[in-house]
Amino acid sequence: MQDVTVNDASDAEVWSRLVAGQADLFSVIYGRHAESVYGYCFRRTGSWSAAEDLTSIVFLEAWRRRADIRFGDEGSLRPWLFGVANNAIRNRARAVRRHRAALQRLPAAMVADDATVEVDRRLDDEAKMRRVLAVLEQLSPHHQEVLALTVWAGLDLAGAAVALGVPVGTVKSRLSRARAALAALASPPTDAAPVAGTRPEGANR
Amino acid sequence: MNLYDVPDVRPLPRSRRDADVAMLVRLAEESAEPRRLLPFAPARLGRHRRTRLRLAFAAAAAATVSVAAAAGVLTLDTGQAMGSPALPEPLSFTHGSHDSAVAVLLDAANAQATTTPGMGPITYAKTRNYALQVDVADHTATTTVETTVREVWVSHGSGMAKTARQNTTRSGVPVGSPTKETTDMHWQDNNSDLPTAAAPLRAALLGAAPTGGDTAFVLAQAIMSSLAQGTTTAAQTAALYRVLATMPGVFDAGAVTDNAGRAGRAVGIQTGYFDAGATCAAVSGAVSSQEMQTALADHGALGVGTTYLVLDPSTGQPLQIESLDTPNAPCGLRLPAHPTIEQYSLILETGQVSKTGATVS
Repeated sequence: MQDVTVNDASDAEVWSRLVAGQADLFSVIYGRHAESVYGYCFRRTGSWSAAEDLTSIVFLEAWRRRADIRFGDEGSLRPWLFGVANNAIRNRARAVRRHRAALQRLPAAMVADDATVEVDRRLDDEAKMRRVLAVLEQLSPHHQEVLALTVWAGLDLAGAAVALGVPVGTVKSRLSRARAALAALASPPTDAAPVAGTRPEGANR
Repeated sequence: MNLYDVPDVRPLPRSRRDADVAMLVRLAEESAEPRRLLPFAPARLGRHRRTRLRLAFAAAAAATVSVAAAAGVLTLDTGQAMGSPALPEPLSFTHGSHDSAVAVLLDAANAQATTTPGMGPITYAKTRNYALQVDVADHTATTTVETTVREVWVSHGSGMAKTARQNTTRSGVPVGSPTKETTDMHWQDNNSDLPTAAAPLRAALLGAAPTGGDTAFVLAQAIMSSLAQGTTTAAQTAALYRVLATMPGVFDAGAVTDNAGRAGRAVGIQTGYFDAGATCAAVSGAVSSQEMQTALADHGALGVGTTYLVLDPSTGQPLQIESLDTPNAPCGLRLPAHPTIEQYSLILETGQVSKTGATVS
C-alpha cells in the first residue's frame, strides 16, 4: 500500500522515489497521467488502438529516458510526457517495434479482453477525429504539435515549451503562425498566394 | 475548423491499464537489480566504459596525428610554429560528367538498400570533423583550426554524445589544451525523422528554406550536412543519394583516398558563393550594402564553395564530406591564396548497436 504522503507529493518527488527503487510508485505516475496521454495520442492519431499502444510506449520511453527528464511547473511530469508522446507519434513504426521487443523480454503480463468497450461509439469517434486530422495534417509538423499540445492537451505556453524542448518565445511564435495557417485553411481560397506556415507537399518535419 | 469540436477522451480499458502498470513496475524492479538484463540500455555509462571511451579518444587523436603527418598537414602535438602553413591539402578531386555522378550515386543508393546496418535499436556514429574557425580577441581576428572527434548514440531523435576538441593555429600549433572530453546527455539528432522516399525527403530538406532563395544550394547543403552527421539509416542515406542524383549540378569527382586512408569514389556539387576578393565586403561589413553588391558583382571577387561526398563504392557508405573554397578562402580569413578546405567530416564508424555506449567495431 502506498503511504498517504504520496498522494500530496509532486511528480518530481514521486519520480525520485521511483527511480531510487520504489518500483510500485509507477502505478501512481501512470494513474496521474495515463488518461491524458491516451487522449492526446488518440487525437493525434485518430485511432483508439494506436493510442493504447502509444500510451504504453510513452511510459516505457519515459523510463528509458529517465536521465533526460524535465519537470514542468510545480514538478509536473505531464509536459515532458507529451514531448515523449510527440516523439513516439512521429516515430510510430519504430516505437511499436521497440515496444514489442521490450515486452518479449519481460515475463508475460496478464491481458484480458475488455468486455465494456463501446465499439460503435469508438468507431464514430475515430471517424470524426480522422476528419479533423485530415485538415490539421495540411499544417507543418511543428504547427500540428503546438496546436495539439495547447488545444487538446491543455498545456500552457511554458508546458508546451517543456514538451517541445524549445523556448517559450518559440512556442508563442509557432502558435501564432499555426493559428494563422489554420484560419487560412478554413477560409475559401481567394487568391493563389501561399499560406505562411503550411508545409510543402509531402514534407514531414 | 473548430479544434475544440473533437471526441471526448474515453477512459483507458481497464485490462490495458493493469497490463501497463504491471509491466512498468516490473521494469522498474528490474532496473534496481543490476545483474539482470534490461529491455533497454541504461542511460548512464559505468566508470569502466568511460575509461574505455577516453582511450578510444586518445587512439583517435593519435590516428589524427599519424594520418595528418602522413599527408603533411596538421600536427597536433608540436610545440613550435612550423615555417609553412599546415593547412590540409584538398583531396585529389577531378571534374567529371554529370551522368557519371548520377550512376555513382544510384549504384551507392542500391548498395545501401542491401546493407545490413548492424543490430540494435541505437544508432551509433563516430566522426572526426576539421573546420576553420575565426577567434576574435583584443580586436584581432585569428584563423584557427578545430578538430572535433565525436561519438553519438541516438534513438528517436535524441541520445548521448561524447566530444573532444583541439584547436590549433593554421600552422598546426595547439591553441590551449585539448578540451576535456564532454558528455551531452541531451544530444539532438536532426536526421531521425528524415523520410526515406525521395520526394518527401526533398520537401523536408527544403521545408524551412525561403522560397525566393537559391534552393539548389540549400538542398545540396542540407544533403551534405545530413550525411556528415553519420546518423542516417541505410534507407535514409539511399534516399539522400537519390535526391542528390536529381540535381543538375552534381558531377563526378573521381576516385580518391579519404583522410582516413580509405579508397572511395567522389561526387561534387556547388554549395555557395562567397567574397574572395580584396574588398572583403561580406566579412568586414565596413562597406555599404550597395558597395558589397558591386564588389560581389565583379566575378573576380567571387569565390565558389564546392562540397564533395566521398563514398565507399562497394557498400555505398558515406566516408568523407569535404567543403572546398576556390580559388581562395573567404577574404577575412587571411589565408594563402589557393584552394582552401573550409571543413571536412570523416565518418569513421556508423551502424546500429544494442545499447548506448556500444560500438560497431
